[in-house]
Amino acid sequence: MRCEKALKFLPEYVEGLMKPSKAAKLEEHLRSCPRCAREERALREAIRLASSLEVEYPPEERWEEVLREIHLRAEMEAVRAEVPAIRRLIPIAGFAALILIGSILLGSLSVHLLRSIPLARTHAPDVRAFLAGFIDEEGMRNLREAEEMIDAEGMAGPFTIEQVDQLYQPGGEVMATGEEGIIDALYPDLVKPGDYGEIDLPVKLASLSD
Amino acid sequence: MKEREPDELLVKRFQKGEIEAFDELFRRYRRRVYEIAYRFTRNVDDALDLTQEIFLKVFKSLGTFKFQSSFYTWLFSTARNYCIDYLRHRRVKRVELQENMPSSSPDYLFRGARVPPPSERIEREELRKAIEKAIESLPPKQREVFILRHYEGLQLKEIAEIVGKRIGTVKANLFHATRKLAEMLRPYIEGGEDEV
Repeated sequence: MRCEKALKFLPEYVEGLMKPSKAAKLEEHLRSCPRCAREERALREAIRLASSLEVEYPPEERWEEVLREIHLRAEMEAVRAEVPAIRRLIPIAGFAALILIGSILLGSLSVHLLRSIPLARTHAPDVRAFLAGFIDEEGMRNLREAEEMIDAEGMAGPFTIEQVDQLYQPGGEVMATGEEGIIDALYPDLVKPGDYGEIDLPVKLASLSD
Repeated sequence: MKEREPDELLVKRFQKGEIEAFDELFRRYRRRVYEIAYRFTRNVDDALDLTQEIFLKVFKSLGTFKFQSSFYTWLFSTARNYCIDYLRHRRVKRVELQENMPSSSPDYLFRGARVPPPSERIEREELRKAIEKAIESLPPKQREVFILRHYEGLQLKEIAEIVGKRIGTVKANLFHATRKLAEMLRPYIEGGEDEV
């Protein structure tokens, strides 16, 4: 066997995938060719080194956090799957649903933020990508509808990720953050009185329009 | 001593609505699933995230599990597929970050480690980084095949089924990966500095 052929077959040989008859010919060549023998050792050593790295484990307490998070997310996704489309809710709940969605989104804006921060729209690509990480298609359609309605009403400027990510009570206290808050905002029939304390929507709206 | 409840019974209990049965399955297999995820990510946080995603998927699918294979075969297959998907769609550049981060205990990352003198420790740390960099630099398809073969110890046929490719393609990716690793690790291989 010539060196060119031997070098070509070496990976197959070191993986133990070569037929015995073919392997015997290669071994014969390796015994007489230091260059190819060195390359064979290099391949074997590369596999040994690359396979030698051990796994670094997390601290034990993080496992329970992971388990809690799995339960939380599974529960949220199950609830979300049961929620009827807001599109079907709107004809039923009518203006009340619109006001609730709009007001919760509006509730994420403080007067201070409205005046001082250059705002990005919720349909800006980065905000969309952020939301799309955990809101299903139905939820995104609901959001788009809410945006259109809010825009049409001239009720507020566009929103930043941070503002979308936090919902405030009338006094300015954060009532919900992150996925939970946004999902509640997009599926208003899940928000029950007492979930976040009393939410006085008219007061909130009035404070925003000041 | 309490006898270990078979996986299949735990799955059936979960299917009847006993959520706690899932917790037992999680505790039983979290470490093994994490190990698979770690092989693909080489990062504790990413591996934990992947482990969480995998078990969330398991939680959602377990209700319709049909027992056509054993639970752990199905679990590990799910884990591997999820990790491959991760590798193909989310190329996380960790190598550069890790190079700037002090390693808290690099030696225990090697099998059969003893406590080496400082100079040897520096060399080992350098080698560890080189190996991680070499593995990280492999194209996703070569990397996944190498991991499945040399970390998971799978046969080519099994790998071909998992990655959805023919055995010939798997072989080609594996051989390319081995050659590239040898090339990148040549300075650390005894006598490897010589030109071949």
